[in-house]
Amino acid sequence: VDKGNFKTCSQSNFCQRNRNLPEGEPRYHVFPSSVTPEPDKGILSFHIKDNNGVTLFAVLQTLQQGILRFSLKEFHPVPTHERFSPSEFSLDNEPTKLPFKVLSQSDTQIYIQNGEIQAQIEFSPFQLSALREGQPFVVINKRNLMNFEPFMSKDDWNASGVDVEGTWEENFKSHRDSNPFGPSSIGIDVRFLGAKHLYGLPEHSDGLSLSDTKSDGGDPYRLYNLDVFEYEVNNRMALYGAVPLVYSIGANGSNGFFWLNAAETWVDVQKVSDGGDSVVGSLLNSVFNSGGSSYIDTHWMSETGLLDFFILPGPTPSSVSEQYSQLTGVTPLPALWSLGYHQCRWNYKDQEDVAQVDANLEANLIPYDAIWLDIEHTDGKKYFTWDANKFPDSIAMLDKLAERNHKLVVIIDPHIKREDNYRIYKELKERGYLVKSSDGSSDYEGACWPGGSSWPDFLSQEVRQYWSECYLVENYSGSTSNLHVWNDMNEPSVFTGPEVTMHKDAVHMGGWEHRDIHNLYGLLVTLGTYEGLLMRSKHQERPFILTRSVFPGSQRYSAVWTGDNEASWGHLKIVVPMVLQMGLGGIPFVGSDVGGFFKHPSPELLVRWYQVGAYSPFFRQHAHIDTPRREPWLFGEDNLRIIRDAITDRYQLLPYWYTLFYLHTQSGAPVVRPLWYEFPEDYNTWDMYEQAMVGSAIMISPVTEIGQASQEVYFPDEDSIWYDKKSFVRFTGGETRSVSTPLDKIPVFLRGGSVIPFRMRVRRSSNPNPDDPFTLYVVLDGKQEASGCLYWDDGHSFSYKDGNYLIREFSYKNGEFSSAAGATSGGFSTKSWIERILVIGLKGKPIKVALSSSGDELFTKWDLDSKTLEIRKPVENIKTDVKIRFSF
Amino acid sequence: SPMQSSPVQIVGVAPSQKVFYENSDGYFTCKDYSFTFPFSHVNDDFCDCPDGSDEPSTAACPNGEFYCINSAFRPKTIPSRLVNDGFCDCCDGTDEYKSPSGLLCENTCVEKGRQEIDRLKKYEIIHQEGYRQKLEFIELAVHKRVEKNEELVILKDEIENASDEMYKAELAKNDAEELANEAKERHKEIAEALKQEALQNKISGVFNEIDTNGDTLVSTEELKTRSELDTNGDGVADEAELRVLFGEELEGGVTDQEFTKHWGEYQAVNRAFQRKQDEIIHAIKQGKETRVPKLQSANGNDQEAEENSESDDEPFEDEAPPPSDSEEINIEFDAETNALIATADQTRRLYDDAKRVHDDIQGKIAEINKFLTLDLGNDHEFYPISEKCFSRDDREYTYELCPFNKVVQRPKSGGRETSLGVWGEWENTEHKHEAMMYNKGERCWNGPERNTKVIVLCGSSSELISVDEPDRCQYLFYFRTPAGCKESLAESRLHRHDEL
Repeated sequence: VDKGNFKTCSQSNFCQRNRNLPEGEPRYHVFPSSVTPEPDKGILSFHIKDNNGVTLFAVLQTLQQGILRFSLKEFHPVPTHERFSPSEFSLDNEPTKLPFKVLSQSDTQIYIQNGEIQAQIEFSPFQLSALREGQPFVVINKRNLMNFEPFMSKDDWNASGVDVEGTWEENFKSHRDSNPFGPSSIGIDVRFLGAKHLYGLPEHSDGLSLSDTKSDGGDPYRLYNLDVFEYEVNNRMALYGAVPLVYSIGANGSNGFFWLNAAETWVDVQKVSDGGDSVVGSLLNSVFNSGGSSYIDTHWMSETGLLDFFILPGPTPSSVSEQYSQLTGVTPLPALWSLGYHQCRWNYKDQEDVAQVDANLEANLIPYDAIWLDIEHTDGKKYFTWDANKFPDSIAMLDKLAERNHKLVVIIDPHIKREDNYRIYKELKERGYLVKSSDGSSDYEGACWPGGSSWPDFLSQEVRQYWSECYLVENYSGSTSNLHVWNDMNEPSVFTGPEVTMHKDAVHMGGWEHRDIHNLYGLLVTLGTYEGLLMRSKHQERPFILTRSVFPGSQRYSAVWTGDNEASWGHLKIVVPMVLQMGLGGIPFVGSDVGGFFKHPSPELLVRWYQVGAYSPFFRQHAHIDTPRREPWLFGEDNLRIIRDAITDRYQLLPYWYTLFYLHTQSGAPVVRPLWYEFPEDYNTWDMYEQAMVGSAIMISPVTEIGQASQEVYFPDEDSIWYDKKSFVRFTGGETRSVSTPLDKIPVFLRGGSVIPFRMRVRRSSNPNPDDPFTLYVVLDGKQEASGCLYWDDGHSFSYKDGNYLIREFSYKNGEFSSAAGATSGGFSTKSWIERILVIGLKGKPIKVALSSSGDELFTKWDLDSKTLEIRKPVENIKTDVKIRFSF
Repeated sequence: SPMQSSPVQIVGVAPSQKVFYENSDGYFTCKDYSFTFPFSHVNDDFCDCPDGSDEPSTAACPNGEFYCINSAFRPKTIPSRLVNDGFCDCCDGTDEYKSPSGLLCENTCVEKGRQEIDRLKKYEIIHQEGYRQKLEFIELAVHKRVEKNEELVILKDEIENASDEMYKAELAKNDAEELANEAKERHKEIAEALKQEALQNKISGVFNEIDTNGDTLVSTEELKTRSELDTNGDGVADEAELRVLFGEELEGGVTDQEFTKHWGEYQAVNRAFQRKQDEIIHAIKQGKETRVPKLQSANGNDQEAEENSESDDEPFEDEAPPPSDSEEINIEFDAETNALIATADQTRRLYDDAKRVHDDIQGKIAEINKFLTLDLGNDHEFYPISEKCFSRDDREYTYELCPFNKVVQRPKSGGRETSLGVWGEWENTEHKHEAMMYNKGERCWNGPERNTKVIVLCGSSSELISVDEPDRCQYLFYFRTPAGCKESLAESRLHRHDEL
């Protein structure tokens, strides 16, 4: 990366202004007489006055599950410019306000109760605490770093005597930001009491636990969506996406803080230790009680916008993710095919090339669900068109792929080539749908792939509607319903703009500046695309969209990938933490370019990357145009076999992945999660990020180092038992064990106590035969018990919303296996059956296995080596309720 | 049993394998003998055998195979994962006997068989014509090789004579050069002696100039008058300065011999003095007010120093050429030496001529040997195309293949041609002579050297039939030629997708 292309905090005037505020000098005070509790409405409003006498209007809302929302804006109408809130786009719907109780109120404070959570506001100086059972866990403005720069005229600003350089106009390299409305930054400090680690703030190519940004003299974490060419790993620089959300973990369990702002944002993190791990150990026994004296301070700074944040009380990681998902929504059930393997390259050159890759995948017995086309498929980078020489009959190509249940995904970027005979450009221009330059009237212009480009103003509903209609088969010539969409470069990437993005003083509809909405732009593009794909199928088919840029709420529309990484071991190692980070940020459908985008991977690196990809929610190989071809069959028979095995693993586990995505829709739980998310009380896991949980039943510990013959694996939770997924070798929780890792070994472990659904028959793609049977792994825990579930439906339509789905609850307890309809199971009809149940971890071989109802004995096979019991063809239809008795 | 799914009728089994699936005793044994179990488990949609042999008709086994008879066309074995997956893989449609979406496969084998026969007929014609021409190619190659071998015999004869001539000429040249060199050497010795004498004369001249009283000793007093020995520039060459120069030998005067010994040091001091003088003169010319001591130079060349810095505009030259001790003494060769040199020149020219003749022949021999050892196929059948070039246009470029020589790309809009590789070798495939490699082409910007693989197919004429760049800067050509035809149609590769 050329770091000189991107701002440091010291090159960002507002970041400097906020970061240099003196700690501990009271600047904001609540007017006691203004405090207006409206307990029934869940609203507490009051006035805050700053030291210059400016009055601000504050609202505290009490929401579901003890969530607190605080917002602050100017009390007096702003003469020049309003403050932007991305709520309309980021929040799934208006959060539910719950009534609160006023516990006490005086001239100095007010203390209220929202469910299990209390909130206390101290008046002078202003300070807000969130408490559980009277013990504070998050304190706002403890350090008096709160900052709210009210809009004012330039004359008033000059009169205030504050330094003007860079506040009203800011230069960076050859770019000038006219900043016509002047400074309006906001900031707040947030203390997480008892916290040992903070996580979150996607997207950064960094380890999972946030580092102390003050102690190493570096910059704060930056959230400003940017197309960073050849980004580096282990770095706090901005990347393509921004989710201003953190989770804490420590003595108060896990709490969250969500800063809802779409402008450029920086976050400082400062860890204050209580003197070592011995204390952490003792805290373990009372992990949900307060009393830890360590804490983590954070300082949130945004360039402009409404000051608006949520305190998510937890107290567990899963409750924080649930609370966050209740605000910003979940990823709706993806189409099953989108969870399969994706074959991509910049660029499959022509129809012939696509046919060859398809044929080679088939000849080499590699299942796949979609082949992808990058920018070269278009006529001169004009999206929604085809290069007629390379793709003379795209419909025939799409249909041929569809015959074998394969999809095509094409790239559609938001930069629009400024060419008058390009219909879409012409219409956008004529209708005034393009983002305007700082003068407010001429179209904003910059360079991207097609050369001179302009950008649709996706902030406008009307523009999004236009964009949506572009996807209709009748408008998108050469397309069919078998075509799906990849929205790239939507930060937006502007090659000629400051920091490779749009000028902040560019103007959107309603007079909003680009600075107000920047981090939201990528989401808006996918929103327009999502609506378009829904319209295209008349709301019958689930859209698939891949995006590079994300913001809170993006999960409702798209999958995301970690952008333009590089074929190096360091980049492979950062995949798991980046996937985890994104999942914690509420965006579960995420993966990396397998093999690394830039440069050429060695066969070993490529193979190891497939093994990581197969256990990432989104699984796609991709490569830069300058790299040699890297399809799986190009690296010799052995590597092909190992790659095929990894892809086969993925396909066999699709019922489990699909169920996890269903569970995500219910609770917001990330699909791939950190160990500490699943085992918050096992503090050994708090700083781990190279191992991860796929759902709650499978742990992965992928190999990310060259020539690694064995690796240390930590098995969390001393009460747990773990089994190697292939050999069924048993491991005890709470131990670190060395596991041998030859190239064909993916360290994957099954958690005792789980029932995991598989489909062992791997076909051409995810679902060419919906009647194919399931296999269940019943993995027993120390008490010889297990439970799990399966969600299933037609895999592509919305008919599940009408009850066309099924949920099966599986359990093994007291020597009996049971398959029963889940409480909310619907009426999905299927011929699919259970061909096999594999019981892992039985204490001994049963003498008889028979249906409980009839006593009919089932055909079983006991494997002496692995001590597993295979039950042959136990259930004729997956929907049949059945109990199976094991006699010992 | 709780699952009474009846075994499906046995399809997907090759006739030769049918014997395995005859239920003789109610039991089935896997083909790899790993298990024996009731015959009802055969084709019951559950995989019991590790080798997949119990499920020839279903998709239950991950490694299973399904055999389509495809009457009227070719039989085909497909992976059993393709059975009942909603796509007709066999032209007789037997693989979709229970297709999930109720798909019914049309039997297209008759039509495919007909097409196949047409195709084979067409190929037969191409192949026959190609192979006929290949035999002609071989004949041409045989003739050419005979011709070349005959040429070689003549050339080998010629080169023997030429070698003799060259050898003789070389001896004559060496003799004459030796004589000439000896004469030059003698001349050089004389010239060296004269040079030494001149130097000594110069030193003595300076010595005598300093030795104003002519007592053959240069005394301290005499030396003090020499301003050029005033190394610190205080206006006088004092004893300390002189001592640095002449050491103990200053005591009682410096003899001519001692002076000669210190001539080097003397010259160095003199040069330093000269430089300083030049600086002063330069400074004056720059108009600076500098007090200039009265100058007196040992060589008396103030004039020259002034002339050295003629222009005010020119920067001052720091490095004035040091005065040289070795006055160039050019003494012309005497007539005898000149005659010897002329003879040597003459013999050298004769030798050069003889060598040229020899090398010329040797070059021809090397060329023929290169031709004879070039791998032009088992029967040299590629010879006729090795003398031609073949081109093909795509939208932007014309590509040209000159077999066994080079591959280039030319923009149609005009402009420079780009090398896509020069002849390297035949790719080492199972059957040799199926793919040519041209390597070391022009390097791609930010990428590797271009190279081209040329797949050789059988054809009734020689033609470049496709050009492609599957990887950046890695080109793939398909080239059809009679030389690529094999004796039997079955072995001839006629179609560019045969390798899939």
